[in-house]
Amino acid sequence: MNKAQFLKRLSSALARAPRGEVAKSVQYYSEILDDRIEEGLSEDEAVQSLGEIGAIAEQILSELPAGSVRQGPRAVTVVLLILGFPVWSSILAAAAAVVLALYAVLWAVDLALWCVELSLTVASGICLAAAGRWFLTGDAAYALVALGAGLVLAGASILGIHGMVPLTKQFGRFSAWSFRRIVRFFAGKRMRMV
Amino acid sequence: MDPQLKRGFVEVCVLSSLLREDSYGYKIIKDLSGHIEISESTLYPILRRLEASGLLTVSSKEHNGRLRKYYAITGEGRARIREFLTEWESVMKAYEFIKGEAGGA
Repeated sequence: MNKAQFLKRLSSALARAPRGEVAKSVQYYSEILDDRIEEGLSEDEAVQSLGEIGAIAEQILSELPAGSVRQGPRAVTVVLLILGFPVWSSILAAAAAVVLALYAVLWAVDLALWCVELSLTVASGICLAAAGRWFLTGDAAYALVALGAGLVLAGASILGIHGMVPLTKQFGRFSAWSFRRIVRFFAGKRMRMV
Repeated sequence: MDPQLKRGFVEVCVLSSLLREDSYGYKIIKDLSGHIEISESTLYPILRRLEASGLLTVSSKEHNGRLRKYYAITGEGRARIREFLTEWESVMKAYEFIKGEAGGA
């Protein structure tokens, strides 16, 4: 490896460091190499005498202030992620299933309440229809009972509608909000890893 | 040797190599090589650290048609060497005691 190749590889090994630091380090090593070549070593020998580029870069990076070095995914992390796939993928799937189940429970409650609402409406309709029929057949007492029941049920149904509409809207808002939170949590994790 | 201790030694060695005249990276390594284990990659961060703490200054001078960085010791650097020597008097006293006791046992 000649001097230019060495310096190029060194600067790419230092890619995580701030640009100014990379330039300074490259300049330092370039100077050292020039001095060695001046002493009579060939470029190759001079480069060889410096040792492993990886070790040199590690040493420089370890001496920089912790905040200034960008942390990439370490090779170990990547290997663990790949080897751990059967474990973390099933844990992730389980977590997704739990979240899905919670949403299902939430919306099942909503659905059940809407069923109650629907049945109140239908029942009041039937009662009122029955009351009309009994009026026509002359069963005044039956008709009156049916009319009363129908009005009570209709009242309950109207009241229910006023409760159910905002409740469902609230559920919708909560679902959207929590879903966004979950997505952002994972997106954030991914950003930090890359 | 304990890395922390060695770091302190190397720092003072580097400073001492600048006492006679200003020097540059490769020459510092050559001057120190007979006395303490040091390589380019260990010297570099030490020079950066000493410069950052004001114990030496850096200037570029032309040499054979290229720029070479020369390092010069500051007053603070000289004070650091004196401090090291006084500190080590007490360390040496402790060393003599330990050696004497270990030799007697």
